[in-house]
Amino acid sequence: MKSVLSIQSHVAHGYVGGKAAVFPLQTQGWEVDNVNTVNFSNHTGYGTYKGSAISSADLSSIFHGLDSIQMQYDAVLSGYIPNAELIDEVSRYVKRVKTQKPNTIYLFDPVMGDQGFLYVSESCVARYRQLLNERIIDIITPNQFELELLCGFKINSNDDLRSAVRMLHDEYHIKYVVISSLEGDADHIRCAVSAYNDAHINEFQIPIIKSYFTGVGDLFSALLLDKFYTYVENEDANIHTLTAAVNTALTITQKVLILTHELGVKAFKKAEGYNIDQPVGIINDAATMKYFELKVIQAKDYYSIKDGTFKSYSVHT
Amino acid sequence: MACTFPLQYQGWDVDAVNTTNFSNHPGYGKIGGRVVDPDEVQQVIEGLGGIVDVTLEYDMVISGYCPRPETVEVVRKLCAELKPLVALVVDPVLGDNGKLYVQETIVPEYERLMVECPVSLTTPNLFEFELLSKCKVSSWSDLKRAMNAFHEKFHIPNVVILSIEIEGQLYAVGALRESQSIKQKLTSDNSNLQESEERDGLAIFYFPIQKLDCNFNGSGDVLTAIVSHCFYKNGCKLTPETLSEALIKLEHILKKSIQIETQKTGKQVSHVKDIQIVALRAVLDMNPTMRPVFWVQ
Repeated sequence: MKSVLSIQSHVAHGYVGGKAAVFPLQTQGWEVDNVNTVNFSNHTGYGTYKGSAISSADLSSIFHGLDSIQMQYDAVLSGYIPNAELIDEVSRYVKRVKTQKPNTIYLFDPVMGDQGFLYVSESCVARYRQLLNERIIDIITPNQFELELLCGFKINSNDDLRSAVRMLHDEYHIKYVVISSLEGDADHIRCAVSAYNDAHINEFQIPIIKSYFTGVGDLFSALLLDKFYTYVENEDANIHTLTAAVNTALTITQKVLILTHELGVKAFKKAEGYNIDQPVGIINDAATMKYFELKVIQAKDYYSIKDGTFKSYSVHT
Repeated sequence: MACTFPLQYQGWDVDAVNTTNFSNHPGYGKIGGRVVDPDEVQQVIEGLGGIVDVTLEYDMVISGYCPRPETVEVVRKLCAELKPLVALVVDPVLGDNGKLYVQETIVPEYERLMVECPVSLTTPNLFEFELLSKCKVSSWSDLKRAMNAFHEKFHIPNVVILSIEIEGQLYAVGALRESQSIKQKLTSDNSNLQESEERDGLAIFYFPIQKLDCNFNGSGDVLTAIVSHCFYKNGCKLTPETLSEALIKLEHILKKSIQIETQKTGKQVSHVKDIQIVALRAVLDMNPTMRPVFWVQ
């Protein structure tokens, strides 16, 4: 059995953070130890929610609990961590995990925001940069906004992208970099893939589904870990296998989004009695949002898909 | 967690409200983290109320381990409001093998919950059943008396007790008391069931089960998840078919968990700390043949 420590947000209702990541991993045979960074009723996109973030004392106590029963993991996955103190706790614990078992692979998703909006406290940015310096991260999956925050400059061109990716490889010694979403043309987002020991950056162009989804990044990172881990385990991790793993993770994610959209539209029509031209989840609107929670459970059979269907391109400069 | 995954795997969207936040279960002897403050449990439920109608949103509500009397109170207040269409399953987690593992003051809180809320199914273990019915069970006549007392007190139409030892043999027991209105809904293919019921209104059936010389952490939670799913699938009626299916799946999971643990440690195991529910998830897809059922006369 493969084991993974997943450090994520928890919501009772809906599918973001741990709710988007844990079940897909379990269906693929991962024994998941789940540590919650927040305990909320629902994600903040509804406009109202209740619950609270874990205190650093409680998080520290849980990690010490795991220490004292000598847990070892094949992988660690971390997502939303709401403040700098908690980032410190996570950073310290992952360091201990990697000391215990040096080949534990750490997939770090620096969840900070998207499309210009920061949804963690400002102090997280600096603390995440410190975490990068610890040299414990094997795979990083920022979106464009997060990449810009970590590197300190805007990505306006492929040259900028190349500089940012090189910075993560060379200054922070991160072997594998996946930029989960980059601005593309009007109908596509791009996803860029790079390995430390290869000069090529590959990219995928993914058709945009016009809707408002949440938890997509959390699902993608979990799927990527699952798909890439097999190659790491067989000492076959390189730009080609990473690109193949990203392709599969993107293909599954896209299928989940299409299913979510289809079922969401259907449920909306059934409940509200009418069909609007394009019923999409609208941020801060609980009435529509609830129809477009990722259909993580209904998509169960997708998670075992092995081959991606997107075409990869070499990023030109 | 032991309850969430099997439910999700069987197709349920699970809104999980956590009552504790620990590093591991107490079976390890050491533990980090803490109980979730009952006020916070209340907060999360209130938050849900802000986005959905919690009295109607769910097809089923399942309550498991509540570490504080105040937690039970929070759950009771939610459950008391549930609309009749919602199936309410209560696993009154109090203790096992003669020992309470919650504060004593929780017992009356649970009693109140089970009296005041529209519970459809409850899954106590023998210790919990004896505690709640206030009867000791060591023979079939004891069981009948205890079940009557239990029904008298709580009016819960469906009861499952996983293991009761009578004359050196273990049994899994199901009991149902159908109200008039539900009775009418019984179809002709349940003729066996109907006959038994019409005799005395309370039907108790059982399956002999194999004794596994092993303790498990979380087996009650997995049982509740599997039984609840089978129960719901069957139109919220406990039947011998329902219990038989759940029982066979649970037995597979427990036996194979022992095997896995034995392979890992290389020696005989008497305690399985972690049931291998993820590794054994395919068991949940099984369609087992029903076992022969016996009825308490």
